[in-house]
Amino acid sequence: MLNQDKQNYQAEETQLLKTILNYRFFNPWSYDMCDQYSLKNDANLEIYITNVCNQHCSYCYLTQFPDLYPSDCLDQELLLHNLQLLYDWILEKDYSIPKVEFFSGEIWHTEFGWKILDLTLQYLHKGLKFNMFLIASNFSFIFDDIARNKINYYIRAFKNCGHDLIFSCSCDGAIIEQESRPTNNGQIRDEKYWQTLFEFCKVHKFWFHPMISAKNVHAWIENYDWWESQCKKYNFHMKQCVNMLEVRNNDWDQ
Amino acid sequence: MTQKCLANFKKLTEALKNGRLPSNVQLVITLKGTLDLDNIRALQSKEKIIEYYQFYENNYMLPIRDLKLANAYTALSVPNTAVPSPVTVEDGKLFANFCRLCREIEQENWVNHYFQEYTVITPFANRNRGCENCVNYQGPLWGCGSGTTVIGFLPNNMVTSCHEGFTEVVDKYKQYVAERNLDNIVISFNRFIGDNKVQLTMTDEQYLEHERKMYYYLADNATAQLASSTTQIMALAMANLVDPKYLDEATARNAARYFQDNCSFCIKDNYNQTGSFTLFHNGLYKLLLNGALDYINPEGGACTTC
Repeated sequence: MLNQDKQNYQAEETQLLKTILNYRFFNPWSYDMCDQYSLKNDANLEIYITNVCNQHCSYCYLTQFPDLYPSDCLDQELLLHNLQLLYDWILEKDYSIPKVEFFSGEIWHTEFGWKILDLTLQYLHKGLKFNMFLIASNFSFIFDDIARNKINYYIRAFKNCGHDLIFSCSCDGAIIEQESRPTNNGQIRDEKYWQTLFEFCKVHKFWFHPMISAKNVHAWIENYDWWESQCKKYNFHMKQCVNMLEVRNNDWDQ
Repeated sequence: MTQKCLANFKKLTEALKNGRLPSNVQLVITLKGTLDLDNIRALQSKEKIIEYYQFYENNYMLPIRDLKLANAYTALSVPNTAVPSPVTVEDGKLFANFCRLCREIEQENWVNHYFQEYTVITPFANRNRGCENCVNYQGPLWGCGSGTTVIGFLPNNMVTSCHEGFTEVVDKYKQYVAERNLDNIVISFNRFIGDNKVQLTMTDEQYLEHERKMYYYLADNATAQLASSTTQIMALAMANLVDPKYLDEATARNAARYFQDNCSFCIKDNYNQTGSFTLFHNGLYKLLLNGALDYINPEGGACTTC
């Protein structure tokens, strides 16, 4: 293919991507209101902050494929700067986004995670129109009173300016947690941890999404019983609050 | 290369003339010309197109016909388009013009007799066409490359479900391409063979795995290809990369149905470009849906499916 042809072809592929982004996301975000046929309610924004994590879960794609996240983009100041650019652009476009999800290696018990939330709060006060925030977290902030209080503060602060900050709990359950999701520093989730976790989630009405993977499925019957007993103990409706997710990696066999 | 093919074919013709073909064997010679983008760009006048098809007739069809053997003939095949991945809108418009000229030549041929054998020269014109009554989301699939109807046996206990097998075994061909740095042509066998994520030339064990995948790909009443293809065509129409009439879902679905039961795509190209056997590359749509399909399969033509 000649160079000019390659350029034309690439320009058309870019044109197609822009069209899809416009119709699927940017146009729906341009309207505050939507009817039943609007794509707006399905046009959420996922922001993947970093792959740096305090756990090395057996099924995590970032653990298996470290090249997925560019290693030269891990500087925290750079990430904060990039997020600020994104927020500035969304403000400038006056987009209204129904749900923003932060996916990330675990940072919500760290200064860096709090800086992300501070920056987001700052832009909400500037007029950023996000309806709600959802964060998938392994709830490491439960280990530490200061970190837990910080998260409590952010939940309240977001609420005070009219936005829900919701955490969805990425833990697999006491029976398989240590095998499936070992922490880098060897920290163990003990009975006290689970008690604090369930009480925290009860207060804030947060739910759980344990993962069923090829590596941990052998113990899932016992693990399921554990979830059932905990839901009963802390008065959670199991079917509603425990969303078991299947890990679709290629290591499943008979 | 062409001269070498012609010389070889002449040897074959001589052998047939000398009675080398046993009477209990039927020889059908099928020409498999390929219209790549360079060819299409070169065939933008009636004179060139007539010359192109006369070349096939004069060199490959008539010499066999003139032998008057009851058990040997050349099939009247029309060249197919090339693996469609790198195609632009402009290429699609040129292909549409090529198809328009082909249709006009077909009409003129009744009076001017450009060809002795050809009556249809428009690519894909002999394929099935559906209508509103029979087009739905459960159409049949064209199985090229799937190995469901044709497979080839190669040396070293290899099996192939695609004509790539012919090139797979000729390592020197790869060397030929690499040495001459032919990456700047449209179909580079270097690319076709070398950088592929999927190979359709397999060992027995690999063929079993291929069969398993094809069982899902060609499953009865599978709707994935037609549904995703329809959506893809509509997205391309939104981006002005195919005719805007395909913004209409029914029109887009009819076109998708045509592709599904048509030999214009290549599952190897699908996989290499999209990561899926099922999804077609954008280039295929840009090639045929910028006017060409309207000449190949004009609206109001009789349904040949239901």
